[in-house]
Amino acid sequence: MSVTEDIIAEFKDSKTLPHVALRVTQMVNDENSTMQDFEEVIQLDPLLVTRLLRLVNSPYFGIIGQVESISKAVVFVGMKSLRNLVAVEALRDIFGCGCDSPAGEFSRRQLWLHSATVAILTDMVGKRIFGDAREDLFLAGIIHDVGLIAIDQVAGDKLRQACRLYQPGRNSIVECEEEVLGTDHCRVGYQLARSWNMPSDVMKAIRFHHKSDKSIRPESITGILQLAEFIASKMGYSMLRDKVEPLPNHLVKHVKSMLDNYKIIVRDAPGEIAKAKSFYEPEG
Amino acid sequence: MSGLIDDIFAGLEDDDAREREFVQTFAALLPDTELYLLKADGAGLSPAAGADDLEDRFTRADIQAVKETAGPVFFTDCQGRAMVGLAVEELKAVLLAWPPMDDCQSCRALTATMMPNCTAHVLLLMEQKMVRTENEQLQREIKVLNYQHHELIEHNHRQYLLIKEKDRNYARNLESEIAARTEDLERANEELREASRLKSEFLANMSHELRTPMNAIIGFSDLLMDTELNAEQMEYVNTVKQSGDGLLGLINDILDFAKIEAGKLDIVSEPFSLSEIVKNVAAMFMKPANDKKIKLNCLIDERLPATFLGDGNRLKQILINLVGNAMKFTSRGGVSMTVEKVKGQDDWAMLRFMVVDTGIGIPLEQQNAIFEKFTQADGTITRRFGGTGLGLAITCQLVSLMGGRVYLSSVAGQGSTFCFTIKLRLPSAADKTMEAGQQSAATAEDQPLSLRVLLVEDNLVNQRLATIMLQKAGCEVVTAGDGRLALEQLKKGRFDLILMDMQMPNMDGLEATARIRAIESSAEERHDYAGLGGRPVKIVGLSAHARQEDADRARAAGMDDFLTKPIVRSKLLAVLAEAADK
Repeated sequence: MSVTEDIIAEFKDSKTLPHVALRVTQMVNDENSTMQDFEEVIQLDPLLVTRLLRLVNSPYFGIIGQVESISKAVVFVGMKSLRNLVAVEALRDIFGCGCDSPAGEFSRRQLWLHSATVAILTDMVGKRIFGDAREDLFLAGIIHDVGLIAIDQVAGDKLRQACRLYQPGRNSIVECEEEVLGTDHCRVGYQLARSWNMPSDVMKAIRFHHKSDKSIRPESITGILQLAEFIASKMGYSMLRDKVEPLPNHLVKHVKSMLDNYKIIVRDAPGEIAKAKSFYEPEG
Repeated sequence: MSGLIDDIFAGLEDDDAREREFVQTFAALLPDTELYLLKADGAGLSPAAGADDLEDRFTRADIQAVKETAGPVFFTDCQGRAMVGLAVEELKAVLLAWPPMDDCQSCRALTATMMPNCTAHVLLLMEQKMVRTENEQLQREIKVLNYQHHELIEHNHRQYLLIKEKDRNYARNLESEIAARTEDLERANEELREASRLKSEFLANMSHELRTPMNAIIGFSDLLMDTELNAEQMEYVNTVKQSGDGLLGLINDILDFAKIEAGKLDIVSEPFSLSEIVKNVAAMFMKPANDKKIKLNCLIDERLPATFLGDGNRLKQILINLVGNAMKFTSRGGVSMTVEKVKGQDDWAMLRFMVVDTGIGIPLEQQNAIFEKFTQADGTITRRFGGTGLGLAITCQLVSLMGGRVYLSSVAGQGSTFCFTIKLRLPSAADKTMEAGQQSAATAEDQPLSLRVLLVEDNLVNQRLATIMLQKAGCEVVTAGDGRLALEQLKKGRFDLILMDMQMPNMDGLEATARIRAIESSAEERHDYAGLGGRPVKIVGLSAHARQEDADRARAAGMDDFLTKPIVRSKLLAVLAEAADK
């Protein structure tokens, strides 16, 4: 078995995406599933129902009036968005609350803030720059660093060692992970997403989000995810506090050509983040 | 915030992009004016290429003066050309301009006036560009939201259709499920009905099997009593006869009960004489009453019509049961039976029947129980008084079949009153004449009848009994053991009457009768049968089955009449008399 498989095998023994989240992911792909099916499955976890409704009713969705049932939530925000929220809740559990850590060190709390911000920014960049309506963007954002959680769970000390090795501009986090662990969070995350039957675009984005390659188009989910990650990091929501990875080369030209657009996004991002405040709080 | 934004994209943007844009836009507004933008860091920009030498043409002091002044400042450069300077706060820079015709006073003044206006204008243009970009961005977002909104509506509609379809399927499944269940239930019901039918069949067969020997016991006891007997012998025969009667009554009760259970007991509607029935019942119990030394009173309203339409036999059975019961439990005082009219009109009457005794009575708590089948007021009753406990249950059922209900009032130790009310129709004129005819037929008693009778019966004991009865009535009897032998007899000679048992080996009574009727109607076949021809021979069926359907089947096969076994002498005589009449 490869290191990646080892980590996943060991991680799955301790924590995995709950059954409900897996079923919901499946149902989104099934043309014949209805809001009733959704409601039935989600109601298996009454706590999840409460948590989801709290998110649906947050200002982020701007729904006028109260959504008090899952089937109504399906009607208002759609199955895919609801699936994204199930992922938020499931990952929130996997991430755990964690506590703050010194700058530059790995912390689960910082990673959660990072993931939530990247999810919001992925959605914003997709919609505002590229006119992209895919709900999978948000999912890619929230889940893209899940590999780090698996590694932290299984080999926390080595991960911290890799994080200390990482010096933005000189080397990349992926290189450091490879050196210390023999694998990296992109590969681990990709395998996890695959075992959860995530959409293939999302899997691909997780796999390549630290890769710098001309073939990655800015408008692809991977490209958008990288743009969002850069902006989030610059705004103080980097994966590791105070360590900001520069914008991958293949995206520089694109950002320069639409600088005004990105400035507007950075200007508006804090407002969106404030509306999604309930995504950031450690527990529902 | 704008600091942060600039910070984020520092390195991605040329350091003087904004300034360059400003100068170029400005130059486009005043094309003939030479321009130079002096930035805070001391570097300068000019719209035209290769104009770097411009920076040597003014002094620091002049620039400082411009910076400290709000608004345009006039001065002269080192070459003596007039120029105007303006501090641009927004860019933290100083804009310098050389008016085209510097010797023209008004031109300079104009340039100075235009510079602040143009600066404001250019900054506004730049801001506008940003707003336009933002607008574009919002347009894209609106388009996405619009698209998502449409998708959502479409998806919701699809779900609505799916749910509707699912509901329909569910309803369909439910329907077929119900249909399947119903079928199962119907099958189970059918099986139960079949089981019940088999039970009735079994009971009917049992009663047949029981009646056949009873027929012999009762019949021969009757015959024995007609012979010379001493007192002791007479007493024995009497006991045998009474026990036989009792047993037959019991068998009839069980059969009745089975029929009621199976819903097969039909209440007929025929003319009958109420007073006759009441008198008969009273007569039946007169001797036992005398023996027990209790009184038996019978009160019937004299004003009641003579004839009613209804089931006289069943009514009699009810009265026998009630009076018999009363007699059984009364040892002092007496029993009285009352019939009175409650109300009525021309064609119907409501009658109340009441049987009152001064017997042991029934405790209040047991009054309901005695109407249950197989139950008597308490277990000791059975030991003291005997009985199956069927009588009252049958009585209640019969009364309810007639549209009434049995009521009981009783005080333990003082006696009981059983009472019921039924509505009976009164016969029309036509019914009355029919009844008169029947009565005349039944009156023939004890007149010797010299008839030639063919008795077809397989059971030798019964054959012998019937033969003796017929001979005593004055008839000549020829016997045959089954239908086939009967036909042989018919080849030899004529008979006035054929008494035909229904169940026989080889050829049963129904088949034989059908054969006889077929032969009678065919001239060719009749040739071989001396006994058949001319008037159809009268055939009377005999069966231990007392069921209505047996009588119906007998008539359908071509029988003229039907007698149940054990053969009752008076009924046999009536049949003989009728045959003799013809």
